Amino acid sequence: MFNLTTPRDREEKSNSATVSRRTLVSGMAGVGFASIAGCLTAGDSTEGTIRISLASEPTDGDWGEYGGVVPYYTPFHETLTASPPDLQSVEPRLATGWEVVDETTWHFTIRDDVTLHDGSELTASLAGDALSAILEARPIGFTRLTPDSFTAVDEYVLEIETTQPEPATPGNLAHPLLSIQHPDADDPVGTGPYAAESVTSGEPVEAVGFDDYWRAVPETQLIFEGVSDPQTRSLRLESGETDVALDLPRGSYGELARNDDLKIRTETEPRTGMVMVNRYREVTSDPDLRKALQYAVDQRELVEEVLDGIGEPARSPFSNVIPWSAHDELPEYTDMDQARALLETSEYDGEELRFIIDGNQSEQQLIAQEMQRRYNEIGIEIAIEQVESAAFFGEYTGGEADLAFVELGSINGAADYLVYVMYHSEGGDNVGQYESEGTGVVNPGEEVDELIEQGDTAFDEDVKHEAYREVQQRVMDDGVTIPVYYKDYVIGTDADVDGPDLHAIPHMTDWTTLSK
Amino acid sequence: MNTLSDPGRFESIRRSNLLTALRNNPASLAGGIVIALVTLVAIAGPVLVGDPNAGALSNRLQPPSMAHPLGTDPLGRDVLSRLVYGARITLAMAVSITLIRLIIGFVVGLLAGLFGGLVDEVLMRVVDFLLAFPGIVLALVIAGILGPSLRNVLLALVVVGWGSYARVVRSSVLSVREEPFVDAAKLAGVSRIRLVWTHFVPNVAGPVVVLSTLDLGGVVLAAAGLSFLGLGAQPPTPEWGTMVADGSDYLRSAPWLVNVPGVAIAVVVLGFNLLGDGLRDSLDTDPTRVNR
Repeated sequence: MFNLTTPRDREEKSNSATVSRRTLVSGMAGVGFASIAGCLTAGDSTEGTIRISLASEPTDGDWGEYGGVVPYYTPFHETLTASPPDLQSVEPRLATGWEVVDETTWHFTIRDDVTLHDGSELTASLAGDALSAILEARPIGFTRLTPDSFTAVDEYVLEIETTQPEPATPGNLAHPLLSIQHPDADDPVGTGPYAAESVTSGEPVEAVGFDDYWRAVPETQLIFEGVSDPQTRSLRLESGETDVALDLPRGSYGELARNDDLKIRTETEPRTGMVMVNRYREVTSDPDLRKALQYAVDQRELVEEVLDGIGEPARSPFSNVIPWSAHDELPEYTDMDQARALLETSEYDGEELRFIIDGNQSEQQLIAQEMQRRYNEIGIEIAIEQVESAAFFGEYTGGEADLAFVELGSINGAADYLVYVMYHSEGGDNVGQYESEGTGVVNPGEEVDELIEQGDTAFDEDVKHEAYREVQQRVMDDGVTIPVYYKDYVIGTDADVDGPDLHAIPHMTDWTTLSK
Repeated sequence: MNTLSDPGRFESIRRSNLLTALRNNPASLAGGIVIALVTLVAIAGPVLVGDPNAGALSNRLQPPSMAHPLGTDPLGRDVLSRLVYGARITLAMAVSITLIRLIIGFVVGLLAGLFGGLVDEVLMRVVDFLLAFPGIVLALVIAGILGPSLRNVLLALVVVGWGSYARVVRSSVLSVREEPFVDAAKLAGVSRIRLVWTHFVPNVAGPVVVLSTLDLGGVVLAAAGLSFLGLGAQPPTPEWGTMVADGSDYLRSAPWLVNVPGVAIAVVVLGFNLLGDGLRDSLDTDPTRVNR
């Protein structure tokens, strides 16, 4: 029996690229140090080895069930299924295929040629034990994966029983947290193309090609390091101290892109920056006011100017790279005249609305200020308040703000869980207030609940997509969400480096496509 | 008029000493001039510059020019306007925090020094407790718990900062208490309140004033630091620490966003420190020397 009811907030947010001001303070010191150190250790990158700078050390955090290394970004572990770079389907990985036995029973056929880093052979039994161990250690109920049992039907067929019908099970199994790690190993022992040389907490991790890998063995060695300050990552890339840097600072994008020694690329994530409007607070319970707030925002301008063109103007709460996003069906809402007209018909009487933002998200702060300026133009008073990251979702889901700037996305093969968590009355964002008062924070009512449940349990993709698109239409019509941008991540590589192929979910980057 | 202690005479001598000391100490004079100028700019801000929150995205990240002498920020707002308005907030915060610290410390120090015994023990243990913590860390915790706002930063910095004033005042009071003129005043039937007001307050004021001037620079830094961390001024309030934080993403492409408020903070802190040094020299705050 697993405890799988934990909201996904912290997990999802902890892996998005953020930098706190405290981090920045240490980072700025790091810039100076790195500059000096760079002079002393020029040519630090070993020939044939590619150094990859991530936003945090891969060994930082509680990753004991993966041998002490985070399964995001790193190439030591693999999942039963995989999400292709465009997220349009779910593909086999360690499982060659799967079969729906009944609504709650799945059979996954495991590859018969896979060896783990310790030499043991991957079997259905080992895969089941590995998944059980991970789920026991790390509740990830936010994905809506609710397995009841893992049973090896034969050597290579794993039966997964779920507590409720879960058509998204293959997609859910592509989540990096559901990577296969030998359940008895203390070090990273997975099936990935690379094996970890040595793992020391707080230190970079060296990765060497795994000779018995079931696909082509990569020849290039990799080093994964954590550099928390984006400016320092950027400087290390420019000075040649690192070969690949993720999540480069947006403010330096233009300068970096003009540097002939570098290749700078961006890719849209299944992640949306949006403002949630609490429909159960006294002032924002007015639908006309909510719509006025929605129409007064100019997403194009915000993305082009404030985000330096990095990102896509959003129309839906769900990024346009998610297969069932209603982005193409939804209109652009920007219309100041319409906003004024709606405000006129609303009962708004000049009350100040509390707009909370995550204190560690500098771009959200800029966007919030620009939104505040436009709201002031039409006569809506906004007070922006920065809230510590750790307390932010508590304040939002506790219904303590009229508006809350959130950035949510999927790092899963199926993004279904986002709909449920965000808009269902019993989803993580609404359940706290649903149980105590009203029907949540942004849940528009029973009809939306039914649509979400319909999509969540539909084995027919068309039915699922139609239900989810209808949910998006309803929440936009209700004015509970103001989508602002679909996030782009920025990756920089040395000009001498080829690859990697970009994935919509940077956590799933395939480093075997990297060479120097 | 008390023949053994004349606070009025003390004040005039002190003013004269202060001006002479400032004249003879170019560094202190420079500090005083800097603070005077910044104060003047802060007071006259609305006349000198426009709305610090006005701007257009089409104007964003403009380098310094005639139209925008200190450039524009990521939202197209004039950095000079924000700097000037920021000076108002910075000075108001620094003076308010220091004044409240001083008042609380003064009262606590006086009570401890005058009453002694259990009162002294209890009050000084509270002070010991406060001084045992690193001030900025405690301020971070308090501001973090109370939530982000300038008012809470003020509260946090007051809470962590009055202890040193209480210590100085107490030691001065203990010293003054042993002076013959205090005994003489008591024998002359001077009331307790009058005794405190005419003999103790003037004689402990000097060291405290110097301490507060020297403290002002630290308060400016601490307040800016907390705002930099997002615990102080909330957007779009143009506070210097917040301005440094806002500009940090553009450190390389628009360095003026960090440099301008950063230099402003450094100049004001330097000004307060130089002025404080001058005051210390002029008032010669040796606690064993008392005014008679």
